[in-house]
Amino acid sequence: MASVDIAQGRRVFLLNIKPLYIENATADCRARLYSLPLFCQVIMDADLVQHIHQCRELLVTHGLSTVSKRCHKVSCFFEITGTFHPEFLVDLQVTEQSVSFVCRVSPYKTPYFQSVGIPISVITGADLQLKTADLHLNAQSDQSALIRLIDSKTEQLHLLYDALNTLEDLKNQLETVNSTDVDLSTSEFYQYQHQVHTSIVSKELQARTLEHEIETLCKQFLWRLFSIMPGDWLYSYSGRPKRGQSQIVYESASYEHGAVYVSGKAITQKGEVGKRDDTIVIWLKHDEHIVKDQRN
Amino acid sequence: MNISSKISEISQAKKRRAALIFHSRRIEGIDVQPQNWGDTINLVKALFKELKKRRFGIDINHWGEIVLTEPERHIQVFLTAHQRLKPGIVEDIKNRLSHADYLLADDIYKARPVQLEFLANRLHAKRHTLKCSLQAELFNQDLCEMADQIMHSVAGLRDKARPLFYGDLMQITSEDILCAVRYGAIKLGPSSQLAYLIRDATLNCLPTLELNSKELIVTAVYQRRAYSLDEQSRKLLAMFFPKVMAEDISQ
Repeated sequence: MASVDIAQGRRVFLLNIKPLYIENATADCRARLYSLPLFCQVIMDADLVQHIHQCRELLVTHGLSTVSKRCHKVSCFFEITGTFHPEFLVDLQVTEQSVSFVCRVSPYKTPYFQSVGIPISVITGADLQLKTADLHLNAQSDQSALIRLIDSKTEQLHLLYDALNTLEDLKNQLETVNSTDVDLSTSEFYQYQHQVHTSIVSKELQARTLEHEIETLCKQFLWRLFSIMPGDWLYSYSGRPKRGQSQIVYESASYEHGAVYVSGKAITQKGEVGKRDDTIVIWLKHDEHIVKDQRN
Repeated sequence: MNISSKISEISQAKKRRAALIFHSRRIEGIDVQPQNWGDTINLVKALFKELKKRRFGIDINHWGEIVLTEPERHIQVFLTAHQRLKPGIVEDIKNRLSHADYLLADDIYKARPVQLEFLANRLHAKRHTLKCSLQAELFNQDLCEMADQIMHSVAGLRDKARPLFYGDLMQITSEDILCAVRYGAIKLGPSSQLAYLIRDATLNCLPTLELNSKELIVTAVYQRRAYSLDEQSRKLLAMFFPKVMAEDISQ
């Protein structure tokens, strides 16, 4: 399949349809107002793939969750008329993991159905171009600022975690207080307990947002350094005996102790996306080679 | 029978065919991409001329459905021009999509030239494809062969059999009105009168619908209601049924 299609540079996908925001889907068929197509046909040529790559770049550089764009390479097949409907509007919707199409046909004013998502690895799998990258890179001035930002944020996060631990200890102590020691009937005690609880909740929220920020910063960092995006296939060979080789689909990135951990589903020997998770470690700071070079 | 008036009826009905996704039965007719429209119309026009010589009756529906009537035994034949997928392929796609979210299919995209098909108004009748191509020049011989093909296949049919669709295909049925009302309900928004009509509970018990220029009459089992139409919905229904709406105004 693959060799023929790549030569033409065009592939045709048929996608399942799922309804969006339809309220009375189970109402009687004669009063039914939403007519859903059987499937959606997408002509995936080089032009559309380029659009998708542009949207993915926007995702990484601005830290967005979805990017959508008007698209004209899609048509919808209706079983009741047996034809592809002549008038429809389609928006291409790109997330980090998949590409889907949000559509509406002419009399409707808002989109009311969506195609299922095609994983990005399927789309990028067509043009397999291997890029090589050296992991022992000196962090340039542009990237070192980013690393410093990530460092400061992780410090903040650790401080938050410490605060959370102490607060939770306090909460546990308050729960196990004997009624003989303290008079529990006063409202002050309950107010204090309530304050501790709310501060724990707010700090957890802060920690979650910080984690998200650090992850987006890591993705930006990887994009600037190696120009890789979530959904790309990575292959690394570090020369170490145990975890020497690993090949993964890049899904998420995290930063800890001067190293970026890129993790995702492992690729099997057949060249398919497997079920196991695997990680690739990129050392940034505490690598001895880099420190030596800087000294010289 | 004036052929150019028939052709103009087909092109007038073209704008109404966008509403066919709300209709309960499949309506035959010309469904082609805008770039193939002119060529297809020329071919159909030439075929009509040939069929007129053979004393075929040609009728055009308000949906732009082409119904040919055979002269000897008055068997009705539908003529369609489309870029449809083959019916077997649709079943196959349905089956495969129930197991997977998406599939790669190049062959389906390739096999979509404009085709002329005809279907006799008989239960379980087979669809036949006419051998023709849009790009080739039209010779009389080709048209003769196409007309012959229709005549031969109709000659093989039995005299009396159950039809695929009962009743007069030229009349406006209550299904047609319901389809237009559904289209209007979507187009004019949820606060419009037609959207209110579609939520009427009597629609569940298969009523008969009738249309005047002023009102829509819903006759269910025990009740008969007449809704007087407002200007917005009258305008929209006049797009679908211009003759009905115009007649009563003149009176």
